[in-house]
Amino acid sequence: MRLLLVEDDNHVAAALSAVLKRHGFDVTHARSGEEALQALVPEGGFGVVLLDLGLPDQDGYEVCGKIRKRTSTPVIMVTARSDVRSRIHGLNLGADDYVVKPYDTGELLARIHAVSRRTAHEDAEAGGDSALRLGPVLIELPTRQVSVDGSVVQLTRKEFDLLALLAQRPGVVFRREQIISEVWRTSWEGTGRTLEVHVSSLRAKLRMPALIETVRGVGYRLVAPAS
Amino acid sequence: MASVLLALGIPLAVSVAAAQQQKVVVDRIDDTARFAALAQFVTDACSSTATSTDERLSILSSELTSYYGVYGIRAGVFCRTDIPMAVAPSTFFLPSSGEVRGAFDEAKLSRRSHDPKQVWPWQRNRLVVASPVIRDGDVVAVVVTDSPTGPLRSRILHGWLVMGLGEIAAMLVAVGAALRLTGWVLRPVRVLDSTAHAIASGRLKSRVAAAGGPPELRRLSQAFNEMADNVEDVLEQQRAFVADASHQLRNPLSALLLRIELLALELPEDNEEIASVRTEGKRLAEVLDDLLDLALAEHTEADLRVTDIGALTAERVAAWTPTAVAKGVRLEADCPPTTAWADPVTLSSALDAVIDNAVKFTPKDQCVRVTVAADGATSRVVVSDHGPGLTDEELARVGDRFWRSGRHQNIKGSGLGLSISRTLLAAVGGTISYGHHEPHGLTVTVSVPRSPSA
Repeated sequence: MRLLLVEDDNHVAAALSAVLKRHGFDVTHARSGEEALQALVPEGGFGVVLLDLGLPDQDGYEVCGKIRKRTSTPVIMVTARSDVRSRIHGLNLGADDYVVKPYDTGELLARIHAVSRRTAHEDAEAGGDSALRLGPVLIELPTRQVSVDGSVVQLTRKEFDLLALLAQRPGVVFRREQIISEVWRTSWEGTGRTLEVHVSSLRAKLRMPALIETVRGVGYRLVAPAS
Repeated sequence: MASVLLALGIPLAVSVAAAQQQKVVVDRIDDTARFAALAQFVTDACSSTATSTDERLSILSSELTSYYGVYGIRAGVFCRTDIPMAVAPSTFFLPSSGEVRGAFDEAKLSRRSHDPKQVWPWQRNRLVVASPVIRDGDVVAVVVTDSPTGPLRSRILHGWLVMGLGEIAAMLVAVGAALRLTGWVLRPVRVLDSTAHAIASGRLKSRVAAAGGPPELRRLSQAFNEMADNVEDVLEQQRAFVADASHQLRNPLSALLLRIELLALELPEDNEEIASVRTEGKRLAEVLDDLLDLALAEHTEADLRVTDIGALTAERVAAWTPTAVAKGVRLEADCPPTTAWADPVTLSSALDAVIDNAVKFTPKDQCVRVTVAADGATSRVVVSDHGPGLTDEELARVGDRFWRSGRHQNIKGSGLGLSISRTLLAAVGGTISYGHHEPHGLTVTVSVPRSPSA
């Protein structure tokens, strides 16, 4: 997934880009509001915009308003201003979420996934696309059926949820705690082993060991196979 | 003031009395002189061959009689040998001693008694004036008048009364003027006093309206306003510094935390060092957050209105319930609808810090109780926990900035939470107090007024 990072502080931008790249995001960095607006319109295709409010050339709120007018790309405001009024103002101007610096990396990633999932659902509803195809793998969401090269593979409920989650954003790393909260509906502790067991069982059932890649220290991602 | 009036008044009173007497004496001297002139030509009245048919003598006698009749003054002409030539009334005679005799003896020596003893209103004595009757250079007889002093004394008293009234009037005028003057001088002082009190109690925007009063005090008012401006500026700068500092530190801290995160990705997942580095980083972030909150709290401009603090507290309790449940702490609330005069946003933030504190210090399976009640002019939110509580010594310090009980240094927090509450509450006219909770634990009472204070 492509991310537009609008941030004037190079140190923060470099560190954040590095972290996001580790999580499988393709990050474009814009240092000013103008740069951000230019990057957005012609290229497009960004999944999420991370917008810092303290920009050198113009007010972050204005940039947010302009982005909202030009595209429907979700905007997460990332800012040092923590007071409630700033948050309310930002959300009113069309920001989809608001994160205060210094943020927890896990929280930031969860929010990125949350806003992109919302828009993905909207897209899916609009397009009526209820099946995901990844090379030979076809995932039919309404019937909860998975087939590889046309032959149906029997998956347990959790295995299917796990695969469907990873398949939402091929290439993007899902953090272990995020997978556990979404699939097992529980918080982190004690479920780590269960996740590993389900991942290896998925790999075995689909007979594609390379489909789900382990990212050490972070989580898992789906690697779309060359068909 | 009174002594000045006395010092001036007594000599004045004396001179009033002297002047009155002088007038009477001059009158008497004139009268005696007239009688002396009449008696001068009464020839041989004092000789042994005196005849009682002397025409002049009878004129003198009738004059003396009518004089006595009109003025009530005893008058008589006496020969050198004490023999009365003519007297009115007829009982008037020369005593062998006393004032009358003194005056007579003096007049025999050809001296007029022009300076008789001063008569005072409280003395009942008489005024005696004598005048020699001189013929051919010899004193042949003496005219003596012996006047009653009643009218003189009442005139003196009258004079004194007028004078006394005048003095009292002057005193009243002076006292009135003094009151007006002190009022004029002190009014700016009173205004200064109330403004200084307002500033001391946190209303930093209070200023003195420089109007009236002596120029020195007007200058003092101006100087006071400048001082208040300065104090406000300095506090504002301090606040701004704290806010800016915590704001400016956010970017480097964000970068640092992200780098730590990257570093953590390179290390085995259960590396304890990186976990504690991450924890320290987050603690630093919390302290920054609290500092900024405190700076903002000091800047709070309350939007006071009638608020149902029962509903508000119930809402805050609901917000904290997940945290409490995660920690295994029961959060019980009794929040009947209760009105208060407060800013809902500010009060919510203050309650957040108090409930956060209570939940943090209460061990698993114990409970935190939140009750709302109204009592007369104030509404109270009481938060009691079953934590370790504080000693009396610690109770006195709790709420100080960065203060944390030495026994709880391992529980996370910046030590600013309750300071923030206190500052926020001060901005809305509320107070926070701490007490023991039996058998153990801490009770925090947040009080807010029920109605706008005058």
